[in-house]
Amino acid sequence: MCNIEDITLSFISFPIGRRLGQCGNQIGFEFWKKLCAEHGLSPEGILEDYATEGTDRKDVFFYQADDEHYIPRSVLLDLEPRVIHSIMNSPYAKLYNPENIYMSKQGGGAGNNWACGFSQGDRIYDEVFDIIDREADGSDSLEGFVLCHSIAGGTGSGLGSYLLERLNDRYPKKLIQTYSVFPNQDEISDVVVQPYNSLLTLKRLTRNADCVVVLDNTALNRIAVDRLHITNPSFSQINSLVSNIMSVSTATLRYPSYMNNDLISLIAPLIPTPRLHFLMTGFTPLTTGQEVASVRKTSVLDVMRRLLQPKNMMVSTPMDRNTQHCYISILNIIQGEVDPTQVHKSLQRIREQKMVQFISWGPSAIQVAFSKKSPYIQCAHKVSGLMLANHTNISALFERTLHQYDKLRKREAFLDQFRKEAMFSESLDELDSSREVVQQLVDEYVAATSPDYLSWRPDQASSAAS
Amino acid sequence: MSEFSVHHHVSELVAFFGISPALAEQCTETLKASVNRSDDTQASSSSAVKTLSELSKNPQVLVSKYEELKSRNIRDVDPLVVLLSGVQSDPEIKKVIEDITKQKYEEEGFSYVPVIDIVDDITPASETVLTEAELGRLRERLLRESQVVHAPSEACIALDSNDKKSIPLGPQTPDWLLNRPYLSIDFIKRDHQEFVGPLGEVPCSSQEHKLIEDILHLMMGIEGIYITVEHPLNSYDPPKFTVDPTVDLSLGQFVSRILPLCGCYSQLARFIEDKSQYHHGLINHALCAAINVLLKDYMLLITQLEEKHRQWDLTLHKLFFYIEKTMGVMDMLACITKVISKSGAHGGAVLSLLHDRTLSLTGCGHLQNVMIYLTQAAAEPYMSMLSKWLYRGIINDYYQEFMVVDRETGNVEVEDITDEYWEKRYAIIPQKVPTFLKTHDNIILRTGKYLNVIRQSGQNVESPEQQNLTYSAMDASYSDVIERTYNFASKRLLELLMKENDLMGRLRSVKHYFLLDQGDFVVQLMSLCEDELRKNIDDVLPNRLQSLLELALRTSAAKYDMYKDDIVCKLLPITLMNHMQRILSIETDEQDFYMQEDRLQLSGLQGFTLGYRVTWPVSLVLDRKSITCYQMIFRHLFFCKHVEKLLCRVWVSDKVTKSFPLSASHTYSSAFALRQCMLNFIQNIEYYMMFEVIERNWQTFLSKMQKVENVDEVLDFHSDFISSVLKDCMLTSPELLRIISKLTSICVSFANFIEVRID
Repeated sequence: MCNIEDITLSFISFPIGRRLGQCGNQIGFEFWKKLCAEHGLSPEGILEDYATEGTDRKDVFFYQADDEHYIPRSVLLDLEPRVIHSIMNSPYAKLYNPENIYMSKQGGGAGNNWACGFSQGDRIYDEVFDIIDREADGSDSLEGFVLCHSIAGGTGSGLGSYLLERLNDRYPKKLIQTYSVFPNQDEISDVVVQPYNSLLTLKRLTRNADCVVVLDNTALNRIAVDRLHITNPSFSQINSLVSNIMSVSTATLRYPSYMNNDLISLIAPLIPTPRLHFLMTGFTPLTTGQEVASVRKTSVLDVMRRLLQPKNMMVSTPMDRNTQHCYISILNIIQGEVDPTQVHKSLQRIREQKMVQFISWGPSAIQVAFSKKSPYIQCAHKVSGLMLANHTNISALFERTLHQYDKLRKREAFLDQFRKEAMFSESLDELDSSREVVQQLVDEYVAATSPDYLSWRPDQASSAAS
Repeated sequence: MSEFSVHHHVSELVAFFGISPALAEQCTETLKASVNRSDDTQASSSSAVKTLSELSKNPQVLVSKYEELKSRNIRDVDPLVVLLSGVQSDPEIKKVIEDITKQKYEEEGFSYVPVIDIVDDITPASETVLTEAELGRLRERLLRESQVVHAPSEACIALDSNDKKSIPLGPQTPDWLLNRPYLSIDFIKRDHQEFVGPLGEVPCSSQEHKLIEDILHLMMGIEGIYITVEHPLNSYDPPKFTVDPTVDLSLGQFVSRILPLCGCYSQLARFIEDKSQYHHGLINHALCAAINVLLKDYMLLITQLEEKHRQWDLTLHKLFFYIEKTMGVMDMLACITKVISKSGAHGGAVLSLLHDRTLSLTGCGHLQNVMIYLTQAAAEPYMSMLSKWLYRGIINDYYQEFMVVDRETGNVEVEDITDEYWEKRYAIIPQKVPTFLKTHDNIILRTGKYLNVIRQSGQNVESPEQQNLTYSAMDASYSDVIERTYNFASKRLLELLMKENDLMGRLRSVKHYFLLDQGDFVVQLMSLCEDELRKNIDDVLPNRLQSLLELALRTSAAKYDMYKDDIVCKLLPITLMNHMQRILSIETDEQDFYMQEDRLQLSGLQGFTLGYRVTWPVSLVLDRKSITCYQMIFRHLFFCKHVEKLLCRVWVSDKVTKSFPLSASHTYSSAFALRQCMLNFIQNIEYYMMFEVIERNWQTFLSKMQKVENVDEVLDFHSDFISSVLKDCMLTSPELLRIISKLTSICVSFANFIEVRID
């Protein structure tokens, strides 16, 4: 997946959409590539001759220029030019509106430092929001923003955090969804301050984002190695996994059917209480583009069953059946030719076999959304499925971040880089408050596992913790 | 007959009689069972007559009446008899009827007459009743009969006078036909008779000669000198002949054996003269013409006989020998014409009688050939009508003889007639269906109907291969032709509907909008029209709504739909709940309860629905009824979507709490949980209705439509689709609908409450 060194921010806005960062830009790039393919657009954004079936809605993510070519509603932001340059040298260079690509004039990047990225955000605020406002005003019914970024490096986390705060102030009624890449914990990172970066970003994700789709590099690498049998997965291979998830999760918006035709109707049922908005994803059947999939029969039950298996989950949390952790909500987006009765039967089977453990304080059922497939892409599988799940287990990921942070913080390591910035020059209160917010998030997730969550008061919990 | 109409009739009866509902329920069951049995009435009728006659005071009269009705070929005699015997044998019903009759009679100041008498009364009355009653509508008939019981004579008179009022068809019969009796080829009534001496006084051979002369005259409808004619009472009976009593006994015997032939001739002559009048119709005319041809041969025979007679070469023995064969034929002709006259048959019914007779003569070679000739000739005008109908869909039936009737009432706009068009415009008159076409009647009706539909849509059609249809008793060549034309017409119409008018595209488009298949359009529409629809229904500006609708159509993926311009918006001054209740309560007493509707409190949203402009011939399928059904489903789904949207808005407003201090935000937990439950409920119910009901039924409908063969099937499949969707969406069950509307209204008030609090 994206190297932590280069972090790109990219936006996708819904009905008018946007994206940001280096890692984010790489994912975003893959995502737009995929969208173009699904909608039958050429790399220049021109409708291909074969794309005659007008059943899709291109205007969710694109708008039409005067010359009939489709332009993504996307803003590319980066503090260093490398990734954006590589995009501009690709065949897709002409796809983007050049006005929507912003590179910091210094070009020095954020030096993998959250504080640096954050403070640079303040400096470039006017220019960036000029672009964003223009895009937002240009769309008829803006529903929200999509942000792709990594939380480990400097730009994606720092500038990303800054943007989240500002977007929330500026567009309080719009939805902000992020696709956030969490660092790979199996490798030793060369970004030493990664725990600080992650923690500070997590605070903003908790406070200012409405829905965070967690993409865990650890799990993505594991899936590439174990499930796809790629010994040394390349970034683009992993990015294609991610772009797949992004495209499927937005498929119901782009191919309108009976239900889930707006972003809110997709995420609202998944997120019962505002803070518990970190979603896991799972996808099956897993294939990379190049490899010919081993032919197997895909049925609805098969797909739904596989989606519930931890090994298909794109978040690396210990999925232990014996823990008290449970699902808060599940939405399965099923693509392909599906008979609703089969779905009904599969759901019944899953319920009978008690494959899923749900919270006891709310409605517990797997929601199903059907989505059409793009008519322009051949797929070896009859049925495929994406699971978006809200699982209390995700708190393990945050606990791990907290743990790493605590280790570093105890030694007061690498704090000099942060003290250089104005925000931390006087005190490190920001770090402490972030730790508190993340700790509360973990507590709340743990509390959500118990049946009396509704009467749970964080005061008691935090006092017990201290 | 459907289950519903059984229920309907029973409830009508119950209302009329005022019997207890429990008994009514039981009756319904019995009736439902008996409806299916109605076919075997033929067999049971004889036993029914027996039962009735046993109970009757004067069985002789009853049986003879039954025989008479039967011989007149009146339909529905058997079912009625069975019904009456059923009434007799079921003590419960009998008692009920007795009670009620007694009651009614007392009310009206009559004295009570026991049922048996009533039954006797009904039987003679039935003749008039029956012309209107339809087989199978047993209850309705019972109802009517009970009215007859009230005042049988009045009802009869009314019906009689009704019959008489009908004006004879065709041009008036000219007066001179009646004024000049000598135009007739039948016996002429003579006032005075020349008296000649008794024939017995001359020798035997002279007697024979004279008698033969007389007989030859009589055979041609001229009264003889020694054999006199007495005119019958009924025109269809043969006249009575009186032979001079003084003739030789053996000669007299011989003469009396020959005389029936003269009677037959007289009958035939009268038949021809009578039925040749305009108002008897083409079929009778054709039959007369055919008989005339036969009579010509007969006359030829007489001429030859006379020739022989002149040469003194004819004896009674010889005469009898010569005419023996002819006698059979003439007798048969007289017999069949008598039946026709007696039953007053007209049009197709004549052919039925002829055909039945032809079949019954199987094995009597010569006679049957004659019958076949007759039937063929008589069927000719009918067959040409039939072929006109089959090949071009035109009814050219001046004398109301054809089996299909066009119920068009003047020049109505095409749009207006569509609703009833398919069901009511053309109908089969069962009495006019010749028995040999009985098995095809449905197909015949549909062929012409299809062709008419095609013509109404502005295309000229004619069947490519137009063979002449001719009747034949044995081989059913016409049935092949009928089958082929039917296939052509149905294929053509199907093509017209499915290909040229793109029925499936239309239906798909209707599904996009009315069944919310096109989700983004609905989202768009809802957000655009929100402010407008929140107003009171009287304040909503329909023009504004329409322009918003068009905007929504153009900004969503619906813009690719070529039929999007046919969508219009409508405001109905009634909530869906009340609408459904009103429809469902039509047959129950609850009706009045829901009638009050407070228009003032209705919001635009509650009355909002879509309309669809359909053009002929698609409006055959998408008639007003099915559009109304679609509208109901739409309103239901749209309201669910509206509730979902409200709850989603609550979700958005909830996100503010993220920036609250933790302790504060958690005071809202129970509200969050409640919102989650509601959202879950509404999304699940939407999911159920949309995917498990609509989509699944749609798939079944599609797969059926792929195999569809004619338009009637298309209509059936489509109405099946709609009704099963209505049913499974729980719209047809008042209890479930009430529960759902209550739940959704709770969701709405919760969402409103939160909204108000946050503002």
